[in-house]
Amino acid sequence: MLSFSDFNYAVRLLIKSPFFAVITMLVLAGGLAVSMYVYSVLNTMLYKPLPIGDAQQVVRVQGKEKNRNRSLDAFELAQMQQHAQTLDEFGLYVNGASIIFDQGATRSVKTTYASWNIFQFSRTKPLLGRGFVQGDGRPGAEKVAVLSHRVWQATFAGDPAIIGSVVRIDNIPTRIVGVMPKYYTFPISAEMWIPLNDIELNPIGYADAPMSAFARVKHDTTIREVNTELTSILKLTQLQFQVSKEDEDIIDAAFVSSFQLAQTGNEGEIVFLLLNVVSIFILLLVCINVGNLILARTNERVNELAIRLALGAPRGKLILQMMLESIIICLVGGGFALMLCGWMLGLTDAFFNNAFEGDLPFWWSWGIDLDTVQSTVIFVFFAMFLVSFLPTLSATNLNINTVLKDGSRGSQGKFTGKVSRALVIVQIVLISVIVLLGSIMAIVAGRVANVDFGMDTTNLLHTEIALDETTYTDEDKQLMFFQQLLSRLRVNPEFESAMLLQELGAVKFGTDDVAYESEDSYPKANLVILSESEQLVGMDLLNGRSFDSRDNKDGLKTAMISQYLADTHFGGSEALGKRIKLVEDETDDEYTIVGILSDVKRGDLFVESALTHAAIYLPFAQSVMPSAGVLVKYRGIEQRAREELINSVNSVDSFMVPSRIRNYDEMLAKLTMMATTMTDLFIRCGIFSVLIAMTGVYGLTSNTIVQKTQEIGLRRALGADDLDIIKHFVKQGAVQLSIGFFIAALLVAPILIAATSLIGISPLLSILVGLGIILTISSLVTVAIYIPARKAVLCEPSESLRYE
Amino acid sequence: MSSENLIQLINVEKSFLTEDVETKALNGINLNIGKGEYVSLSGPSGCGKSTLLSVLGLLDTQTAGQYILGGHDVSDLSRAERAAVRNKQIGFVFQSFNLISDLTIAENVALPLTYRKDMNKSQISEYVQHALERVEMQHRSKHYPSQLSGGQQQRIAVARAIVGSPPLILADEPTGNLDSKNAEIVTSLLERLHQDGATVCIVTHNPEAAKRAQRQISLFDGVIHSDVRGVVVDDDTVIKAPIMAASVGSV
Repeated sequence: MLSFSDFNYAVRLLIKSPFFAVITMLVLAGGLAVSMYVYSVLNTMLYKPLPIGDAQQVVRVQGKEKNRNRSLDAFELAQMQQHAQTLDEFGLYVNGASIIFDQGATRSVKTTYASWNIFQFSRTKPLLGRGFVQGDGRPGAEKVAVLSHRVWQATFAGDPAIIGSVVRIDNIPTRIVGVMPKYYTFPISAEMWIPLNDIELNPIGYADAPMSAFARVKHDTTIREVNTELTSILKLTQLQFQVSKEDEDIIDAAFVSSFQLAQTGNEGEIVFLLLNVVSIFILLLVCINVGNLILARTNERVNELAIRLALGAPRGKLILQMMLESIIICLVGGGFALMLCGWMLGLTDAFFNNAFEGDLPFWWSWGIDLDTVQSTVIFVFFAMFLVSFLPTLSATNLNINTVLKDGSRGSQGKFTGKVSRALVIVQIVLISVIVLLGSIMAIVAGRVANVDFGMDTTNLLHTEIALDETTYTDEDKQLMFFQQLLSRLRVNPEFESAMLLQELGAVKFGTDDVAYESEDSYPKANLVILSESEQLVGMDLLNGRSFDSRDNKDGLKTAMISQYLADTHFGGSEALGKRIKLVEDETDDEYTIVGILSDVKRGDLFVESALTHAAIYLPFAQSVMPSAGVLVKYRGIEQRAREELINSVNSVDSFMVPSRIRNYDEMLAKLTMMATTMTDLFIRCGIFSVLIAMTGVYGLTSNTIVQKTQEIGLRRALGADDLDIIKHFVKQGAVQLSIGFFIAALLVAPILIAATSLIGISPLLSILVGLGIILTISSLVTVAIYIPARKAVLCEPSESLRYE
Repeated sequence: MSSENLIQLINVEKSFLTEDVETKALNGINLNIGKGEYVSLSGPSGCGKSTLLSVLGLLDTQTAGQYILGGHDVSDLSRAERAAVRNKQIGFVFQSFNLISDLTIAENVALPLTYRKDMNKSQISEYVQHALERVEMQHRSKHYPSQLSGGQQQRIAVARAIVGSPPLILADEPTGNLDSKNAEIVTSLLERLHQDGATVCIVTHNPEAAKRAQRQISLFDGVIHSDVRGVVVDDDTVIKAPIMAASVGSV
């Protein structure tokens, strides 16, 4: 067994070669840190248990329609709550926004309307006051709310006396009963909680109220069992209420997932898997390089090892002694990596919290935690194995006779040559895969960063107005409010233009001159409700007219369509005057096209599809609704415009304030920032790995060329000139590149196919990316081969022939 | 002895600089070797014989002096030109055979020809076959060096040296790693090459091998110490005609 003196000896050897020791430790620390960082960032986002008590069993209940996640109706969830045997502590919630009125000031806060048990469910006691109790949702009960720590500090200056006081929330006197601890924002990023009432929680039929649910999976129950049960309850409910549901999009299944996966959507796990593959590949590259450095060192010591073996040292002990050096390098490198990773996680946490203050899911908090430490231990052991593998194999193959007779030129040289050639191929495979994934991310990042929304977003402010339906009881009152608001905004010198705009999602439509075989064959477009407006905000009228006073409740049913829709379905400007019909429209009305608007990107902003620019606009006056988005283009200073927007709303209804006012550019910037930042981060990791791979290929090739110094001398003695020698090694490199690319192609083919279909990267672009990668890696590898080969031919052949 | 010189060295010097100390490996060598001569170079370790062979083979450049090979001054050739001269005019045989272990015997022998731009594959194959026949190793053409004995490997090295029909064969201790039987075979091979018209120059420690050369040059401390031409009178008697019995600097 190894003793302390062996450890001492290994340390002494490392101290004797400080450059080697520092380089190997730093390279290893870099690779480990990148892998740990990527793992830790993604683990926190997707897999780490929520920072609440008993988090392992916590799930979110959702519906699925043709593989797209959908919210379930409150009624469906209520049925599941009542009948599901596989879930415990079931509760409903829906996220929204509320306006808090406090001494003349108003503040829009993100509010979670939830079952009374939400705080018990999340095992979190209020910092001040109380949480909800069962009676809080009973009809006639006093309205209550619980504040987040953030709102308590920002709106009420952290005044403890707020507990028990009554504040107007959404114009309703509401008693503040509690304040939650700092950082608690369950279920995602709530700033205030209001209990759902019993009617909302237990509707007697479909309530047209999409909601989510939280629950705990019972012990000894699998997720599959839960999903099966929930889906059967859903199907049964749909069957019983078939009549009222016949015109709705049917949700195919109900399922549970963690809050984290629900937040990132279906692609979250794929991204997690791909990025972790990348990070493991980076670690592999680093380990190969460090292993190669240690192998070169082992070869230097091969005579010493042979002498020790000849003197009777047990081979096993010698191998362990050599491994000890690798182990020390890995342990110290791991320590550095942990510090580096912690530093990078801290930066990430600070960056995201600054950039997305209050908008981040509460579990997105990065730093060194138990998971990171555990992953460090695993990664370090992984690295130890990989780093020690080659030197150990080399030592195991050591032939004492050959070595003592020929020095290191015998079997060790050949072994190293074979290993080096194989490792160059491995590096080419790894780096091809990493660069491909990095390229796909770069394409996505490029799309996100340069996404053309098709709108002039300069000086645009947006807010949501939700009318209280107890005051604005019918469509006429609701229409009057919005018309008055638009009039006030339009006469206000701060604003250049104003309009209402409400997106209602995708709808199927038909045209009057095409017969469709089945419901599935109808084309789809985004349905948008737009107010009358002489001057459109952010969009351009290309043909016909925009909505005006003629498009009222009693007038001809009219519509505008996007240019894309006009071009694809109506032959461009010929669309004017034609009629369209919405498939799921209860009224059976036909809409006459009166105008064509410029294309604006809608739906999933980062994926191009047939739906992206297809839009049907209906006049607000013919489709009145109690809530709508208000879009204004301001002239002067943004702050004044914000104030005037609130004043204008107040001037129509003194109890009404707009929800959070957002600057459109800012909104879009935030939308793209997360994607671009994360992608940027991973592209940097990709560049790091390319550097590592290239230095690795250089190191391995140098090693091979050094081993072949005599052969080079011989070839030159036989008449090869410098170019012949360089060509010989480049040709060898070309063979390695071909094998590497072939293996990489087998590995990345599924990724490319997935990228083509999932992210919408065209096959041509995929091929171009592939060719670009082949060209780039080939060039880099050729340079990495050329430099040591060039160096090798510079010395005289006689010198090369004498080299040992 | 041929009247025409193949090699002319005029005041050739070679110095090595190690840690600011200059060591003169060759110190003003003047040497003429005629076409078709069989010359041995001998002397104690460190006397400069291998350095001299390297300079003769254009494996190394002299620090000073002039080298005329086949009537052409090769002292100041570019690297590529030197490579071309090595390829076409010189064949090397090394003590440690220096066969490339990854290549077959035929590929090893073909190696010098692969660097000639004017030869196609069938020509190369024909030359290789002929060279292997001359050393009686044609039956091992598809084997690898590791499958051959030391003597066989050296015969392959000789085949490689003669495959391109160079006028000059340089051999550095060609029998140094061989037993007496194999040493005899290789020495005979070199003699046969000489009889066929090649100029052969061997470096050797072995007095017996040196004696079999027509001309024996002995070096000491980087200078030619003696240069003796041996004339074979009968099978057992050699009459030596001294060309030069020089002390250092006497040339």
